[in-house]
Amino acid sequence: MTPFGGESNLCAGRRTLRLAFCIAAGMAASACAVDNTGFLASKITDADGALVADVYSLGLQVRTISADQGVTLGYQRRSYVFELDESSPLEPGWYFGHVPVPPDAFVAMNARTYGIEFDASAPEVGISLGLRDTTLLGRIEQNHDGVILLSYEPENPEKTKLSTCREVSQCAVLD
Amino acid sequence: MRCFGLRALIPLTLCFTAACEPTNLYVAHQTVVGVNAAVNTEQTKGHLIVGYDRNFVTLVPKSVADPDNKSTNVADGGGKEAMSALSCSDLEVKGIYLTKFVEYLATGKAARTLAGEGRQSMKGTEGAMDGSNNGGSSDGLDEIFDCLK
Repeated sequence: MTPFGGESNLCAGRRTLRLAFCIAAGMAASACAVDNTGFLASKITDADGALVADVYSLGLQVRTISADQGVTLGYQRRSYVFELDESSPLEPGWYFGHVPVPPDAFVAMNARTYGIEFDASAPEVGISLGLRDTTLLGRIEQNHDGVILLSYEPENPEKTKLSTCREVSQCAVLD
Repeated sequence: MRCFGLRALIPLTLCFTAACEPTNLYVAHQTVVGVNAAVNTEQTKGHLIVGYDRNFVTLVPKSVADPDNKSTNVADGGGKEAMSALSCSDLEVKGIYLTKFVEYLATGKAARTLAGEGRQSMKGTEGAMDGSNNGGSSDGLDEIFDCLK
């Protein structure tokens, strides 16, 4: 052990790294994902005023964010539409093991699940077995003041168009 | 140990399903093929589906402060009211899947302004339906009214 505890810190760092690797390997082996990390793949698509994240997962997925809380066992594709943030350095493309956008700030969402799903977020709490196709077209805070114009095709995320503004006259047309 | 697990699970489930007034506006669609059992967050309505079902739902919060009356005293005409929202959804369905949706949604002051303009146009005053009384560009306005027609 060094006087400044360097060796000890190094060991702790290695241990943490090993633990993280074990958790990641375990998640992959057991096909499990928690929120935006684990055994999943995501495709980020740049669209007109929006960013669409299609998240594919197989096995067990646990979602803890309040807007989309629940547990799924089976195959699912969850698509989240976000308002385009020009300052974000996010590149469109495929990402594996980690979705680079936190899915709690989405404007709209479409989820297609084959398997068992327990959904614990509003507007309904429930459980389903089989196929479930859910679309949340709007999830707006009660004090929101403004206009949202959204055109979205889950199968063609590149055709998504999103326009948000304070007044209707300021909003861009969708077509 | 098993009993403890079960005891821990019950309050956890109750926490998840705790009765509460929604604080968000929701516009949602759901298609189910199989079995689905659900209850709303206020625990006032529930359903059990076996087979196929498709439904659309709009939930409007009813606990918004009255913008014209700052008093919280109900006797003074203050208190809470429903959220102002003007919405039009255009949906395309292919088979059991929702293939496209177009959503026009105005909330709060924007919704009240828009509703006022809609009323004016109904009365036959200056044509708000064609956006000409909007004092400028009215592309978004045109789109919303086109969807509402």
